[in-house]
Amino acid sequence: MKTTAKRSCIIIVLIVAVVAGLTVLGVRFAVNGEEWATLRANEHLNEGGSFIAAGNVTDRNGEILAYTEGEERRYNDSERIRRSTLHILGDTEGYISSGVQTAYKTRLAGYSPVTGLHSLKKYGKGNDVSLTIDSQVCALAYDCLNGKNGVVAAYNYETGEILCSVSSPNYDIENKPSSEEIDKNEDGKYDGIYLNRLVDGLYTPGSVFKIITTASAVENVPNLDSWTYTCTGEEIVDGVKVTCPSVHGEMDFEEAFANSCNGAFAVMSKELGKEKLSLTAKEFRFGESFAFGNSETDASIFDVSAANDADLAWASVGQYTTLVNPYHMLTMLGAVANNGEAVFPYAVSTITSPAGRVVQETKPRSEVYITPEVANKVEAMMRNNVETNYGDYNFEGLSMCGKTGTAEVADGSKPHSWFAGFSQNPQCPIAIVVVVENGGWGASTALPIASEVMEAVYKTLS
Amino acid sequence: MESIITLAAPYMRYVMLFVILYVVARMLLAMFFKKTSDPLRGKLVDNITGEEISLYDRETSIGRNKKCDIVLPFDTISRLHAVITYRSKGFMIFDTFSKSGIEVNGEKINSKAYVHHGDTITLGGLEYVLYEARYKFIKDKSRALGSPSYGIILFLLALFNICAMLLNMYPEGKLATHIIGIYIGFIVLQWIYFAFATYVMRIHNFECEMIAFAFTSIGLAIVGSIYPDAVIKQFLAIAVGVVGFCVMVVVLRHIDTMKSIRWVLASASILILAVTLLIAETTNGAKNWISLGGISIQPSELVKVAFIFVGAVTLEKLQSIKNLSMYIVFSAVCVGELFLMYDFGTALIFFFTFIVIAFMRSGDVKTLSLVCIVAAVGAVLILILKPSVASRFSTYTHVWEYMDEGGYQQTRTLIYSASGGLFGLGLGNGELRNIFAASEDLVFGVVCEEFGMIMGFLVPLTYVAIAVWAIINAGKTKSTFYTIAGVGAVAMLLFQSMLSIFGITDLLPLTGVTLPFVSKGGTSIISCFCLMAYIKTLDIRTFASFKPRLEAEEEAGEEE
Repeated sequence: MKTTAKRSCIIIVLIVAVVAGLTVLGVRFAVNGEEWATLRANEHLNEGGSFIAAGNVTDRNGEILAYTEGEERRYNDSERIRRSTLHILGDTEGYISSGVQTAYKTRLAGYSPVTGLHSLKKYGKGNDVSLTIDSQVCALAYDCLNGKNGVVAAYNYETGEILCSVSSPNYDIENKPSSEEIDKNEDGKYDGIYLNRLVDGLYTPGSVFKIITTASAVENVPNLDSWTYTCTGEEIVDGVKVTCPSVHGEMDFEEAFANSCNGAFAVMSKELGKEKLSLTAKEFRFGESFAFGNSETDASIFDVSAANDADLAWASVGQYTTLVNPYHMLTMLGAVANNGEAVFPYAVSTITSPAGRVVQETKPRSEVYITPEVANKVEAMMRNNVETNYGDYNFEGLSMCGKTGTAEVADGSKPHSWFAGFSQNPQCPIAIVVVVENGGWGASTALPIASEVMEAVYKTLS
Repeated sequence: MESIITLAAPYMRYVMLFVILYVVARMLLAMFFKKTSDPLRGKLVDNITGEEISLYDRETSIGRNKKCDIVLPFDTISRLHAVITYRSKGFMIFDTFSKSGIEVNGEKINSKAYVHHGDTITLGGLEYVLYEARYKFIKDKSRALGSPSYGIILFLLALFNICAMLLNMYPEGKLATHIIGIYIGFIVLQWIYFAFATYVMRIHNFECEMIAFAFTSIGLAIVGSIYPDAVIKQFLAIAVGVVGFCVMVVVLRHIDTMKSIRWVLASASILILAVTLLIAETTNGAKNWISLGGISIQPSELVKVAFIFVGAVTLEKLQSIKNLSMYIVFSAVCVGELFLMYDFGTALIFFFTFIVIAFMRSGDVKTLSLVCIVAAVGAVLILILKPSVASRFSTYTHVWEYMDEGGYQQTRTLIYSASGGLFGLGLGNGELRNIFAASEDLVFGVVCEEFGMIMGFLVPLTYVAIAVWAIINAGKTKSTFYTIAGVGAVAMLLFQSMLSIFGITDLLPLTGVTLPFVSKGGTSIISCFCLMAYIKTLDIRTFASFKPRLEAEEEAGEEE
């Protein structure tokens, strides 16, 4: 009798197995529950594979950009707004991975490990999102791009709010082209259509990189004010010709920056050397990705470890293997504009539950890139560029600082057209990046777009 | 009305969760920490030392044997000396063949005598004065926990079922009167059982039954919500199960007379499975259903009950190997037949239960290891020779890669369980219910999604707690039959829960077995209730009934 009873301890094995299994299961639910619950297969959130559970998405002025009607996701009435906000909003199938409707899925559905999707069931809708963008400015930027591929992005370098972010090519989400058509990609008009170029773009920067080389010169060259160079239209470095578009003659460094003189920068790059230039690039966070909402940006590249002097010369003017991500460019402009401290741009301002509780509120984050002295000197030179070269008439009342870029890309293609700048006007603390792929001269393609968008932003802010 | 229900629905889920949590927790506490659910009846006070012994039970055994309720380790006391009973007329003392006899107020008694307030009882030289609690001279200080009030438990379960009724009574927007009838009927069934068990069967503690009722309530709520038409069948199965439970409890009290039928049961089991194998049509890949006059039943579920009975009846030749070999043959035939039905889940459950029972009977690690090795080799051979069998388990641990094919049920269970959070989305608000076998194999997921993960995990954890309780109580029963049957039944229920829950959540290969008491399924519910009767045999209070004949027989058995 007693031994029989003692042998019942055999089921301890089973008890341990069950408890261990339940523990594993519990841990899996705690760790993966959010991911599982927001999969596209979940019919609570998705209808026919489309994510419909989010609440309203509005822009900074309360304009509704997306909402759910019945079991269908609907968007703003204006096609210009739909197209211009496509990449920030994202789609419902998850192709545009950095878009709010995909990257913030769990937050939009109101999922919590404690209450699951109960809030969604209770209120019949998910959480509302308020964005920092101004849909009218976005639509204008979309018009300005005029069908060309590229990106226009503007943000408040004091608060981090993105006011404008347009990526092209895009499509009208209410009349999405068929997947066959997108796959066919005639004339390359759907090249990387699902990428938000602000986040996922990597472009040869061309002369906008001179901002970084200039900063390095400010940091490292003791008598920069007395530094001069005479441009003959070309400079031979290591037997390789570095050419300038025109003969600039004799000038100091500030003038060389304003003239965007490649020869002067080739000489300067040799004076700085690989290490110092790389160090400055590192200070500016080259090689780092940034959190944009719940996704990550592509890291900019400045790698001269295998470069000879000629390569370094080209790298210092934004050619060679150098690549810049537009979001990263915004942060660098922010650092220069903001005494060396970069405030990181963001697009999602608040997420509010149907019960009115603020579930998430983005707080500005910032990092110091460079010292205020360096920032202010670079800023002054960028201001000089606009004053003496591009002309203040382009940016009425803004006290604009800026740099254009004309980035040579693959043989036979037109160069990428860049403008990177910011306004000193305290009423309009906005930095802007414009990239037009194969757009030609920076000053003739990107600059006018920047000019129009900045004027529009200025109007909305004042 | 309908709109009021809609408004109240979000709160009902908390009420339902609370009811199940409270009932299960209260019942488990009662099982673990109380000797009895009865109030304090009286006290025996040692005349010399003043030591007090509380009397709670309706029957209290006294003796030298450690199994006795009151152990008096003196040579003058017999192994089982006396039993004190409490009935409406008061206390009685029975002499259970003691050597030195019993005196009441100095007079030697002849087999039994009434004992009254203030009487002195002398057992083998020890003197005790009896105080009756009804005179309120003594207070109950010894118990930390009050008795569970079964009135409250039944009221709470009724509350749960009324919530289920309200939430389910408008299937597709139209009032369904049969739903109301069924849930009211289920509440009444619980009360009738309670009354019948109290006054006719003389049972005074109902922990096992209340836990069974709690879990069947969850199941019935889900069935009524997903398949409003199947709810009648489910209810009838519960009713039959309760009747089966009562019959089992009574029958098991007279196990000595039932021993003779084990050969009948064993042969019948093998035969029923063989017949099933012959006439059953393949349903969902397994040939385990037969249709009898319009009622489809799953014979393997009923065989489970017989399987434990046959295994546990082994009073004589307790440790002998020959005795075990017959059981091995019997089990091998049963498991083999289930294998041929392609009902691998049930086959595994039988095999595991066999191992537990066989080990408890013989302690023969060598033979059982051999059996396990043979079984493992056999299983591997089958997987190699029959790729169709292997293919059924091919998605195991890869469910997310095949989430719309072989891993469909598992991934959906995980997705929707996670969607429910800790408190669930409320009955009727789930999505998993739309997936095949939602209320059977996937029921764990449905419980998690609609009632919350707390409730989902509570079910297996309760079986774990009952298993722990079974181990603790295995030595206190009055017969090895109760020990083996009780532990065997617990092992069966817990193992089946494990296969069901871990199979559907991809911790184990999916074998498609039901979650005991919760899953839909008539035969399965009946068998669960019958298995619960075995578990109840471990509860010495129920089976400590005054049965000198069995006691005496066992005394003899122990001395061999």
